[in-house]
Amino acid sequence: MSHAPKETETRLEPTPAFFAGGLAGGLAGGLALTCKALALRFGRVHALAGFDLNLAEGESVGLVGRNGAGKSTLFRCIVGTEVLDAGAIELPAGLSRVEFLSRVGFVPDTLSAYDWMSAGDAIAYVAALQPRFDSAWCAQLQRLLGIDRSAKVRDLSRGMQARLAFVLGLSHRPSLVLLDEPLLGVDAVTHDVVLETLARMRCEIGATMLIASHQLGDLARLTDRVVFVDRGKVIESVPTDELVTKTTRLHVHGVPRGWVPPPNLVHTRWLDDAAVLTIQGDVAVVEQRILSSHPNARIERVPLSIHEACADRLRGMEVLP
Amino acid sequence: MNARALEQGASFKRSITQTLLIKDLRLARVVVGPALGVLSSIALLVCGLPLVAPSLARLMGLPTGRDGSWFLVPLNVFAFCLVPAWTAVALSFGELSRKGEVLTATLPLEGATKWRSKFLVALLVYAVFALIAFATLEMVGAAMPLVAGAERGWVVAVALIGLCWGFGAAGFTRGIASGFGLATALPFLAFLCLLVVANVVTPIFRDLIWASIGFDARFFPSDTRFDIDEVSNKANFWRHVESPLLLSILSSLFLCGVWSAWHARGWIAGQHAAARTPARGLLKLAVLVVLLGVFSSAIAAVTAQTRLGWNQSANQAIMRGFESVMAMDPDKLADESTKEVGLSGWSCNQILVAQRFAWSHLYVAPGGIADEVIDLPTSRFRGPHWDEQQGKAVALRVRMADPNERAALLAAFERIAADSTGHELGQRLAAAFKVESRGVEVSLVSLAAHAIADHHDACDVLFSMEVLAIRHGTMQGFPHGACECRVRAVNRLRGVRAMLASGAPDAAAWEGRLDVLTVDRALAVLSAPMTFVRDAESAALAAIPLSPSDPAHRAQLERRHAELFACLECDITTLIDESGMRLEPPTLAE
Repeated sequence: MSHAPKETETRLEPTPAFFAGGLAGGLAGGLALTCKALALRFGRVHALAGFDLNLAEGESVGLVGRNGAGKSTLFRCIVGTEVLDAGAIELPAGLSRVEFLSRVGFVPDTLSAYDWMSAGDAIAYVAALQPRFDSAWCAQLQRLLGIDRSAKVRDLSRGMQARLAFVLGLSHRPSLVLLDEPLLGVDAVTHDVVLETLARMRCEIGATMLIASHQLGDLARLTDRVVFVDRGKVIESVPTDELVTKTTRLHVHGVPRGWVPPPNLVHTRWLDDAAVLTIQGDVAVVEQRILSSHPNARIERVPLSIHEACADRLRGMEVLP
Repeated sequence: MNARALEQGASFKRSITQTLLIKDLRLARVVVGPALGVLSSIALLVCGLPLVAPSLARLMGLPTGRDGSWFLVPLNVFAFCLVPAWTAVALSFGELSRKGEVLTATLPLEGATKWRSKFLVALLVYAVFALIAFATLEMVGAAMPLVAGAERGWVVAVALIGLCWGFGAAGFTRGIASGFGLATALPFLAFLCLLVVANVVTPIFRDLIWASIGFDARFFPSDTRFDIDEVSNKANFWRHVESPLLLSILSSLFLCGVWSAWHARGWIAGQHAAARTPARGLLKLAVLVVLLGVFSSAIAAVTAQTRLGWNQSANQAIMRGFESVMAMDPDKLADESTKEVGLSGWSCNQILVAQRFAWSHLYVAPGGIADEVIDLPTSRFRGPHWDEQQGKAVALRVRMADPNERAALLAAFERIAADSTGHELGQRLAAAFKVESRGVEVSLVSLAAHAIADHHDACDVLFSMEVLAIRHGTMQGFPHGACECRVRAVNRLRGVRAMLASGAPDAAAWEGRLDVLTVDRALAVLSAPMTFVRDAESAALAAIPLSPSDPAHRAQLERRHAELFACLECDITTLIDESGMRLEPPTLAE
């Protein structure tokens, strides 16, 4: 498994404290985590319905699913703000809940801080209560993200809130980073800085990461594999590289409406007179099958972005039971 | 770590406890701030404005002076009961920020650490508002009926219960606004529920206890009024249950509050980001309230019965007395029930003191008068067979209520009242009293007038004089009010004489029982100085079984005699004029 960031350019200063603390403090490498058959219901809604996930040490996993699929609920269960109805989250051996939390960095989609605090107060609050808080690293993050310490939390814009949430969640150099839509509302520069920072964290301390995002391009840069989630369950887990390189879209012309495409495709739909097939795996085999049944068919290969690949998978999941 | 990092990072590090306390104090400010503001504004308005601008205060209708201070006491007591509870709500819900995400919950802290800080802040608020309430009370310096003495304990308890329920509210609702509502309404609902359960279950426990110890509900002993009415007897038991029941209900309410707070501990520590249904928790709470209500009722019933332990033997004694009279022959019953006090061998003073007591209860059998007879007339009298006598008195009433029995008993009473040889005066008067509905005036006054006119015995005269006075109206007996008694007796006889002499239709009822001549003789005895009482009493006084080592008691008795003789030996014209108007009584010489 490669821990190298997808993009090598960085503007993050390599501080000695960061490396020294990370290694000497025994934090090198990430935390492994196993979620087994997690179930949680809110009234009649099954937010989690047998959710299984294994995170290896240092692995970076993207969570992709439509709204309400259970991604945020999963994060809340991991950090303990939700109590599971069934299932278990297995922590690394010998680690208590409190010790686990001291190594987890959670960045929620909405800033979690008291409205009456200033940004500086919120940071000081976390500094006092987080035993692994790294002042130097925190100061560097503040500088990089341009945090105004005197601004009240309630007065911060959405983008500034996201920046502060990032500082609060990661200022103790966590071994397990949980990011729930961390970049909503941030500007392009900050977006870039955050991605760089995360990449450096993976590279330099080998932090394990679980990232839920609808910005699929970010996942392509940061994750090793992408887990597709629907209705509280993991539907599919695909290596990130394969999402782009082994997913192909075919436009098939010259087949009649009502034509039944070959089985096991990611997604099928019609665009004007052409059948649009999204295929995972060996595209030549599929082409051969089509041509054997419809010799006059004209097949056109269309390049796919990761966004399109994921979107087609999500569309494909809609027909699943 | 470079200098800049120190400036921005480590320099503001505080201890965990300090940090959490500061945060929780800030959360509590949401409630405490406005509460203190309102209280101080009202205090300033009520106390300050009348001093600065009295006319404006009057115009605004503000209570002034002491009234104003008194107005602050219930206000502050109310705040003491409410504000800590609402502070607990603010502390519980304060962790929630937008979309329910929680900052403190995701930090590596033990649940107990988070709890401890909130609890300390809540206790601090509790102490502050207790101080304000009781300091106001002390400043007013008056015994407010609501919060004086032991009542302060109740206020402290209610505020503590409110505090627990304030923390507990977080387990049953999702929003802080409904949290305030629930923290206020739920304890009231639980209290009402506990009361309802107690009202239903306590009588069941009472009946079970009574059945197990053979306690007859018809014969519930009472210090005030004994009645065979089972319903009122059970209500009487309820009176004894009230205090322990209230205490156990409040304890149950406290326990429910503690359970609610425990149930909500996860929510308070932040484990409740999303919407969860509170129905299961409320159901559990309802079951707990009912169970504790049953438990409270059992404790209260057992406590009340334990406190009334003597009642079991009293109950048996009443039952014995009741059953013995119910089976008795009417003639024997009439004879027994009128043997109230033997007149011979007793001091007139003692007899009259005891007699008044005997009259009030209609029936005191021989032996019912105990040594307490020599006690002060105002003291409580209870003989060794008191409970048995109560049972007999009730049985007599029961039998008198039966038309067949009533006729036989009234005939027996009339025979005793008319028998001047076989029964002594006291018993005859008692019998005459029993035939009240058939002309007690005629019977009693005739008997008393004859006894005074004949004045064979000093005690007979005093007793009759008191009978005349009492029948005339409510008054104090001997020796206190002896002058009043003599005056009333004379006036009563004068009235009867005038009626007999006028030949009015009412006089027919008296024919053969009393004539003008006898009345005049009786009036002469009562009007002249009644020195014969002192002679008779001196001999009787010597026979009183008083201990020589009790000089205080003897001195008291002698003083009462002196009061009695002063009233009896003066000329009637010093007490009353010819028209019956009362004059100043003689002053007792020291």
